Parts: sequence; C-alpha cells; structure tokens
Amino acid sequence: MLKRIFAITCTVALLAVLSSCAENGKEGKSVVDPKVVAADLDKAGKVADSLDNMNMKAYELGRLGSAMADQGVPGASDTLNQALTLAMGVRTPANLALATGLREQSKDWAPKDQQSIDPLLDRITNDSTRVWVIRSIAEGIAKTDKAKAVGILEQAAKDAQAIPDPRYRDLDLRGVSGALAGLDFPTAMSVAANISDARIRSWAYMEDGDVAKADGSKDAAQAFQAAGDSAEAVLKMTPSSELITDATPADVKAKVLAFDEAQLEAYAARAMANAALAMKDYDPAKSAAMFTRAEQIAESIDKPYTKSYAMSDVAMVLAGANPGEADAYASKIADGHEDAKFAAMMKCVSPGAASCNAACDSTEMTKALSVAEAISDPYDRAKALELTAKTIAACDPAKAEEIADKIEYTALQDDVYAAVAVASAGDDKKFDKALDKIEEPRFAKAEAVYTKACALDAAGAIKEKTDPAAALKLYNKAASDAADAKSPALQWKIAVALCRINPDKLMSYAATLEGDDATKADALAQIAADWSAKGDYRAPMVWDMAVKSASAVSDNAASAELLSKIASSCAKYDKTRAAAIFGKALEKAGKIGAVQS
Amino acid sequence: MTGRVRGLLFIAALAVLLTPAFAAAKDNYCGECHTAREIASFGSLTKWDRSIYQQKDTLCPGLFEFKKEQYFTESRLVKYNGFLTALEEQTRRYPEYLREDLDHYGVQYADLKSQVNGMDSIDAFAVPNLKIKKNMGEVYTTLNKLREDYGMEKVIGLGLLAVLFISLLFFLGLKKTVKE
Repeated sequence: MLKRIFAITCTVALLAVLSSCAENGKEGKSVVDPKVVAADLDKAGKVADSLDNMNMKAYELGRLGSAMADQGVPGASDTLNQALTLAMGVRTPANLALATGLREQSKDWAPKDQQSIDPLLDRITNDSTRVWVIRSIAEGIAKTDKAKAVGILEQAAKDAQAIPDPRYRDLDLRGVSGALAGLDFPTAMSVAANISDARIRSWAYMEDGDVAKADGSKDAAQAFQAAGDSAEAVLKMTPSSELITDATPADVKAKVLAFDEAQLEAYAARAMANAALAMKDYDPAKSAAMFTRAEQIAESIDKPYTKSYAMSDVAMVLAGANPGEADAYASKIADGHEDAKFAAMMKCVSPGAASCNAACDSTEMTKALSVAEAISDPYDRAKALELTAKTIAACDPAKAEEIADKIEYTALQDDVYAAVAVASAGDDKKFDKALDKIEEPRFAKAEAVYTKACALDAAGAIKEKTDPAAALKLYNKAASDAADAKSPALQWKIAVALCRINPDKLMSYAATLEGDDATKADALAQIAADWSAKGDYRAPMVWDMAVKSASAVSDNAASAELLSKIASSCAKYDKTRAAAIFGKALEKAGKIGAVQS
Repeated sequence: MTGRVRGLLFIAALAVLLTPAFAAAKDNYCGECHTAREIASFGSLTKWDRSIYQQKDTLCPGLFEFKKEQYFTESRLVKYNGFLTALEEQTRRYPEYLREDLDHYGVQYADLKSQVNGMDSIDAFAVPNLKIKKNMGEVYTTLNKLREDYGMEKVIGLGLLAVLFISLLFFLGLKKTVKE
C-alpha cells in the first residue's frame, strides 16, 4: 500500500514538473535579462530611425539635385554628390553587422520580444543593403555626367546581388536596369537577366524596352522578346506561400499551393500579353503569336475567378492591338464573372471608336452596358454603370441620364449628372438642366454641392477660351458652392482659375481662404506661373507667397519637395529666383530627420 | 478537422485574395521600385476601370495598396449612406447629425483624392485616409447602436402592449368576478 502511494506521488510530481516546463516553453520565458532586452530594443529602434532618416534625406537631396539639373540651376552636381555620399554612408558594413549581431542575440528571447525587434532589424538590414536610393541619385547624375552615372549603377547592380531579401534584391536590380536602359542598353539587359523572379524579370525587360522605344532604338524589340520569354518562365516557377508553415496540414498546403500556381499562370498570361502589345510595332506576326499564347495560358487556369480575371486582363491589353478580337475573347469569359467581362468590354469600346458617337452606337457599348447591369456586387455594378454613362455623356446625354437613374447610390448618380452637365457646357440651358438633376438635400448637402462646384469649374475652363466673362460667372458660382461644401482644396483650385481672369481678387482669396499650407503653396505657385506667363509685374510677389506657404509645411521632406516643384515651375520665367527657391529647398532637405522643436 | 480545414482555407483565400504577389514588400515610396521616368508615366491613379478583386492581381504592391484604400473608403461612404436611408425608412427617425458627418467625410475624401497625382508615397494617401476611415467607423458604430436601440424599443413597446392587454383582461375578469 505504502509503495503504491509512493509511486503515485512520484508520478504526479514528475507530471507536474514536466507540465511546468511545457508551460514555461509556451509562455516563452526568456533566459535573457529584461533590461538587456529593453536596451537592445531601444538601440535597434534608434538605429533604424536614424538610417531611415539618412536614406530619406539622401533620396530627397537626390531628387532636388535632379530637378536643379533639369533647370540648369548651378549647384546641381554638388547636391547630387552630397546625396550620394549620404546614401553610401547608410550602406556601411557596420550597420549590417549590428543587425546581424542583434538578430543572433535575440534568438534566445521570448517570442513576444522577438516580434518586437524583428521589424526593426529588417529595417536596418534593408537600409544597409538596398541600393534604390543610390539608383535614384544616379538618375539625376546621368543628366550631367552619363559616364559617372553608368559607373555608379554598375556598382549598384553588383551591390544589389548581396541583398539578403530575394524580393528586394530583384526589385532593386529591376530599378537599376531601368535606370541603365537609357544610358547603356546592353548592360541594362544583362542586369535584368540576373533577376531571379521571372515576374520581376519580365517587368524589368518591359521597362528597358519602353526606354529603348522612347529613344527610337530598335533594341526595344529584343527587350520585349526577352519579356515574353520571362513570362513563359513564370509558368515554371515553383508555387509557394507565406501562409504555409510546418504546422499546416497537407491537404490545406496542397490547396494553397494550387491557388498560388493559378496566380502564377495569371501573371504569365498578363506579362505575355503586355509583351505582345509592345512587340506589335516591331514584329506583328510575333506579336500575334504572343497574344495567342497569352490567351492559351489564361484559358488553361483551373481556378474560375483567377481564370476570368486573367482572361479579362489579357483582353484589356489585346484591345490596344485588335479591339474586335479582344471583344470576341472577352465574350468567352464564363457567366458569373460579369465584372471581369465588363472591364474587358469597356476597353474594347474606347480604342475601337473613332468618335464619341461611334462609341455610343457601337455593339460593344451595348454589350458592355448589358453586362454591367448583370454584375452581382452592388458597388461594382454601380461603378460599372457610372463608367458606361460617363463614356457616352458627351454624345448621348439622355441615355447617360437613363443609365444614371439605374445606379443605386446617389453620390455616383450625381457624378454622372455632373459629367453630362460638363459635356453640355457649350449650351447654357442644357448645362443648367443637367446640373439641376443633382439634388441638394435639406441636410447634409455638402457632397452634392461639391459635385456641382466641380462641374461648374470644369465648365468654366471650357468657356474660358471663348467667353471669359461667362467663365468668370461660372467660376464665381463654383467658388460659392465650394465654400458651402467647406472644401479648402477645391476653393483654392477655383481661385487659381479666377485669378487668371480677375487678378485683383488674389489678395482677398489669400486672406479669406482656409486650407493647409501645402494646398495654399501649390495654388499660389500656379497663380504665379499664370501671371509670369502674362508678364504681370505682381508675379514675383506671388512666387514669394507660394514659397512662404511651402516653407511653413511642418514635414521637412514634404516642404523640400514642394519648394522643389515651385522652383522648377519658376525656373521657366526667372532662373535667379528659382535658384534661391532651390536653396530654401536644400535647407529644408538638410533638416530631414531633425527633431522638431 | 473539416471545420478547421474550411477555416484555414477561408483565411488563406481571404489573405491571398487581398494580398498581392509581393505581399511583405510593404514599400512606401514609388521611387523604391520605379524610376523617375516610370513615375512620370503613371497617369491618373484614381480612375476606376475594374473591380478591386481584379485589381489585386496587379504587379505593383504599392498600386494595389492604394486601390484597396480607395475602394474601402469610397464603398463605405456610399454604403453607409444607404444604411442610413434604410434606417430612416424603417424607424421614421432622421439622425441628421450622422448624415452630415458622413457628408463632411465625403468632402474630405474628395479633397484628398484630388491631390493624389502629386503624391510620391502610399503613406501620403493612406495616413490622411486612415483618419477618414476611423471617423466613418464611428458613424457606423453609432448607426448600429441606433439600430439596436430601435430593436430594443420595439421589443419593449410590444412588451408594454402585451402587459397592458393582459392587465385589461385581468381587470375585466376581476370586475366580472366582483359583480358575481
């Protein structure tokens, strides 16, 4: 008896100890001192923020330098060199070693603490290894020194090979290839060839081809062919998914992988279609064969939704080459996928029609409309009807309004009525009649009034060329409606138009209109550009007002970017003033990452 | 096991449906992947030409993030207005303050949308849009509370009627008994 009690007690004690260990394992109690964990987390956070800020500063300085180079403003090269030095300073082995060291240390931490530090270490690793900032700066350097830019990009391509994350590695190589395409096409192609993900590789070749095409080079065909070959290679990629872990049951794993395989086929179809469209201008027979292949790939997908969307995407691209064939292909999309069918059919309407009237009367439009009405999702159906109505608003306003009446959502209906009104801007009665269809509820009428204000503004822009007095009336009405809608952005947009016709109004607008500094700065810059174009002596004062507003933007990066845009706009009229504005932008860029007081 | 498989499949389908191919690459700036020449050729990003379910297959994760944000806010704006209309028809009450709030957020969103083409990062759109979505969420919460309150009032009202009826019957019965 005693022996039995002793044995049972030992067993129970053993079980209790074992379960306690399991509990400890589950809770993930760390063997590391919490103070060390907290200190390491703090250190990682500070380093990550610091590197992000340095990268941001380098990127913004690069963009500034590029804009200065575009305008021939002195100091562009110095700015770009400064940006390059900063960008290279981020990519030091010491930063990467810090991330690697902390990652090693954190392996013993509790899962919760590991989840806190991992994103910080990822940021440090990305900042220390990625080359996109250097690539962006090299694009600016290329404007004044192509040879130097090529050297930087070639080195960047080599450095990109060492990026640990395969996705970022491929994306950065794609960016470098795109930047090289206009400078050294064979090198660009060889960089693209090193991209391991066939999807990104195809995308890279397409970009290289587009650059070569824009330069009028026949090398473009080579790039587009390579894009098509890479699209074919996508089909050979091994399906994978981040959702799959060691604990995922086998049947679930099989289903997820099957879905990913369908996704790969869809990408392949799309990429092949894009390459085929680009190839059309160089080798029509090859282009037709590539389109046929794209169609085959899309039709072979066994997941119905993925298949229908892939077929729709292929048809949408095909519409750019052969709208009739695209329409016939779109008709093959299975019933139950009307949203996919509609998207393809609408693409066949626009390029196929020689004029608006042809679009309205075409069988493609009739088919698209009936398919739109059959879309099951109410929101997608409403958007489809809205798009159809807006497309025919100019030539058949009555039909457009008839379609609008079928839309369930008032806001989307009002958008169509506004489009009909703008299309009838030449005839005041028709315009007013169309605009009156937008009802203003007793309460909550701001959105309706906003839509009306946009229509009045657009109509004013149309009238301005032939009848400035009538345009002024429309703009004034629009300004009043925008004020009722309490939309500062729209008020400033209309103020730009009003100041073109009636410059004396500027001061009253500047004093009364609300809005954030960025909106103000943008609008004032447009007014200044309009007045400079007319030779108005008050233009310099408005440039100064724009700069003052842009400088008041609290985010230094946004402020620098805004000042750069203002300077680029000003440079067409006053290079000295533009140089001074660029100087202010540089000051702001220099403060990126500084603690705001 | 079947329920677990279904649940996992649903989550997998939802995640894959709403996640682009380069999912974890939640890159922010367009310039991280695109050259300046490419960015200049983007055109209008706010134009609608296909459903969000078709849009998810776009190659560019940044574009998909942007379209998702756009879809969520725009569809919620029109749908919540529809819910308010349905509530008003059902309850014969008109919570104008909710309608005006939604209206105001609609204008804020339209302003934000008008500035998209000058933006160079997803965050430039997503951060202000988050505030609008949060505010719309509060409207939706209030709307649901009003629905629940109306349902409760209906129940209480019916209950009161039932009590009154039973009391009346009791009173009549008592009166008859007393007479006898």
